[in-house]
Parts: sequence; structure tokens; C-alpha cells
Amino acid sequence: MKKLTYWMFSFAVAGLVFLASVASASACWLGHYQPQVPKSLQK
Amino acid sequence: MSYLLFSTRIASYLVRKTNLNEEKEEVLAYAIEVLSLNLLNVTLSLLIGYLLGVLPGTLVCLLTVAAIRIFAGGAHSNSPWRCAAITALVFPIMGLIAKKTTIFIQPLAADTFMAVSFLISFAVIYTLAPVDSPSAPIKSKTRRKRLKFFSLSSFAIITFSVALINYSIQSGKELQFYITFGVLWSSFILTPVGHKLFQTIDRLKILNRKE
Repeated sequence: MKKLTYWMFSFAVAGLVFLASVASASACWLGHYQPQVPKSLQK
Repeated sequence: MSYLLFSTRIASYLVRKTNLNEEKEEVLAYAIEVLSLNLLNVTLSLLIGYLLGVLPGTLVCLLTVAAIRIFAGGAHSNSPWRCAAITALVFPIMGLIAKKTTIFIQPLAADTFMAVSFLISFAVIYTLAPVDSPSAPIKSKTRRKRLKFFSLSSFAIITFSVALINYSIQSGKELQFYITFGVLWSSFILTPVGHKLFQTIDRLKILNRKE
């Protein structure tokens, strides 16, 4: 059960990291507010 | 970096559960904030669009603006809640105006309006896109060039679609108007006047809370 939970969290983290890189590669998203892009993702 | 409280809390929980470092916590908080705020904005916008009886129009305006804004960028509000209010209102209002306009406008006037709108928007996107913000600066020249290319490509696909609707869908004027209003808004927020509008809204003492 613990292993399954760990995998689920890891899956969520992987999805969010992917989303963060996609979001930081685009100029901005739909909303009219831009959260600060982390330094590690700025290019 | 300052993120909303719920974003940092969820991110730190995920980091603890998966034994990641602090740098990743910032990335996760950013992703959670982008995802949640965009979901909130789209949901509110569609809900108001539904209540005003212009759900399809709101959806088309949202999709059109998204297709250009992702590459072209534009003006931003400095508060997430003010942004939510602007997004929730702007798209249904655009849908409503577009719907009402198609009822009384003459076909020739409609075509002229669309042609002029697309010409102005092309000029604005060609000259100004991509427009970055202090929160998401575009540092690399290659990235800037790539974003301009994709902005113009996206605009070209939209223009082609609008022209195609003219020939393929009977009574597609309403749909064409939704797309035209979306294109106009996307290019307007690239301009200095669009930025001034957001600065003026930001000066209003409403929805100032950061959390």
C-alpha cells in the first residue's frame, strides 16, 4: 500500500513537472495573471 | 518566489512524500498555480457564459485567445483574483457582443469589419509578439523568434479557418464573429494601450488579496 501511494505521488509530481516545463516554454497561459516562473525554468 | 498558500502547501506535501529537493518544490508550486488558476478562470468564464446564454461563443473566444496568447503573450494583472474576475467577465461579454452584433449587421459591413480586424491584428502580432512579463521573461533570442513564428502560424491557421467557415458553414457569421473578437482581444492586450488598461485595473482597490 505504501509503495502504491509513493508511485501515485511520483506520478503526480512527474505530471506537474511536465506541466511546469510546458507552461514555462509558452509565453503565457489563458489567464490574465502570470505566476513567477522558477529560475531553473527561465530561458 | 511568492506563490499562493495552497500551491506552496501542496508542493511541500508532495516533496515530503517523494523525497525531492527544494528546487523541485518551487517548480511544483508553479505548476499547481498555473493549473489551478487556469482551471478556475476557464470554469468561471464558461459558467458566466452559460448563465448569459452564450456558452458556445464564450468557448470559441476562449479557444481563439488561448491559441494566440500561448505564443504571443500579453498584458497581465498583478493579482490572481483580479485576473480571475477579468477572465470570467471578458470572454462571456465578447461572446455576447459578437452574438448581438451578428443579428443586425449587414453582410458587407460584417465582412469589412472582420477583414479590418484581421489586418490590424496581423500588424500588431507581427510587430509586437511575443510580449513577455517580469514574472516570465523571455531571455533567449531563439525562444523569442520561435514564439513569434508560432504566434504568426497560429494566427494564419485561425484566419484560414475563418475564411473556410465563409464557404463551408451556412450562417457561420456568428462563429466568425466569436473568432474575430477573440483575435481582436489577443492583439489588443499586446499593445501599450492594453497594458495601460491592465495597469488601471490593477490600481483599483478591489480583489487585492494575494492569498
